[in-house]
Amino acid sequence: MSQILKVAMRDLNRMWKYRWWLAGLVAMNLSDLFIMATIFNGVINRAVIPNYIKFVAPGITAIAIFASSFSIGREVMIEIRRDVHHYLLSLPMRRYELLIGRCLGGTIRGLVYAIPFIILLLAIEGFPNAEIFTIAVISIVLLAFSMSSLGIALSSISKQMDVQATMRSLLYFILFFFSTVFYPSRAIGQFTVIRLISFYNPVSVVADLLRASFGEGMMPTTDQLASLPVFSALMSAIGMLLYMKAMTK
Amino acid sequence: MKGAVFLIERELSKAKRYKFFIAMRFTWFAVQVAVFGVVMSRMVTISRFYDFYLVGVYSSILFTLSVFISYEILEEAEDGLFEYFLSLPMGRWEFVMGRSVGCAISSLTYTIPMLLLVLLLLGNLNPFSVALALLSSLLFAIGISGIVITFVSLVKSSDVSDIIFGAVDAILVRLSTAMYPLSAMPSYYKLPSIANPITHLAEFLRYILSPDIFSYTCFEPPGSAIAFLLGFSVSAFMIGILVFERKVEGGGWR
Repeated sequence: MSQILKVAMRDLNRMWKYRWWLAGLVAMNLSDLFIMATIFNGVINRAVIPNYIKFVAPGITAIAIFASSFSIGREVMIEIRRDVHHYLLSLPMRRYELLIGRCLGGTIRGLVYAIPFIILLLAIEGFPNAEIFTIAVISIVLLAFSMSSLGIALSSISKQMDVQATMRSLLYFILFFFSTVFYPSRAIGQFTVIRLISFYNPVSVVADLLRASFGEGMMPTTDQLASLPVFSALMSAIGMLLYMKAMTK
Repeated sequence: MKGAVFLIERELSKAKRYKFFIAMRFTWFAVQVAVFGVVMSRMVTISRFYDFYLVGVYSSILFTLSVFISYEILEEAEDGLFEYFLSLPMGRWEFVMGRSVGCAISSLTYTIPMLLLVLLLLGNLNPFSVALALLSSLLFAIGISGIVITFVSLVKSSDVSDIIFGAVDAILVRLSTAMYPLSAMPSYYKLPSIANPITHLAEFLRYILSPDIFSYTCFEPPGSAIAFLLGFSVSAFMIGILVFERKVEGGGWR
């Protein structure tokens, strides 16, 4: 257990190495909230969304968690390219400890990054329903864990940076736009593909849960809630397998 | 002038290197046009929002691509290629001109399929509109490249440049009329938006491609937008030469 924590803490410490990248991400997330959402709030149809800032804030928090947890993948990719994994494999720890430690490191990064956004969310939305908010916090941890594993999985598929960047971006587009971050599920009801992807999109589930905890929108269905741990378990298994395969190649 | 032409040709020959990046940007554009634009147009009270948004999203993509391509000067400097360029028999102004125009033409070339898609969706494919759209986009891209070269010459750090460009890209696109008209903005966002080159490109393109959308953006006369783009492009280029000469001479890049 202590080895897992050591690996995870190493990744957390290295998060600050990418402070410039993080600052860019913060700027993007905050400008989405304070510029884009503020302006759209003045032109949005009130019958669809009464307050667009309050609607988007939970979605942006979910996106922020996804992006920061996913960032571990960039690091894993660089390590594999530079053969740093030989060093990691030589460390006195079991393979599973290394694998779980990496996924946990990414998760902690996501959660650390999310804390200021959750505080901001509370400042905007007010006090949440404690019961639903607790479920939302658990779902945030699951989202961070699944996205961290997914980032590692993608980084382990190919050594080519271009291919990786393309896959990352495609995934980013899907999780970003095929979700309920910017629009409610009823607004995408007519678009079957978008609705279907958005329904099981973990980012949507977390965003909707956070909204529900502040008394906005509908609580995600049991299907959606169940999909999150399943998705998380699946992603972590795939991520660890692919990472191990890439390291021992 | 030969040096500038050489650099422009060199810039254009690098198209292959960006194929994945361009494919990603095109996908981003397609998803914004086919998903975000369509869904948002059903939720906002702005009439013909979709047409309005089409032109805006093209302007923002051109901005992002121009920044990305011009930014490569920094990577070349860090790889030591910059000293080679400085040793070539060409004036500093030729270097700035070659890089600005080369990067601008490259960015514009890569976004032509997106521009054509916008024109097709707007139902406006006449040669005059296309020519004016290309000209204004080129002026815009030259200005952006000039600004990036100036900034990179001043900062000389990829870390600082990364954050600044990442933040500027995020803020400038949102603080422009790419996604919403000026009339929809709170007063405190209007002034920075009016000073934003993306706003001027988007407004001018709207004027030539779909004047009905332009009319409610409170951005008249349209000549002011193209005058701004011209002034922006020339001044960015001139500042680029001045700063570049001052910062590079006598100490190389570092």
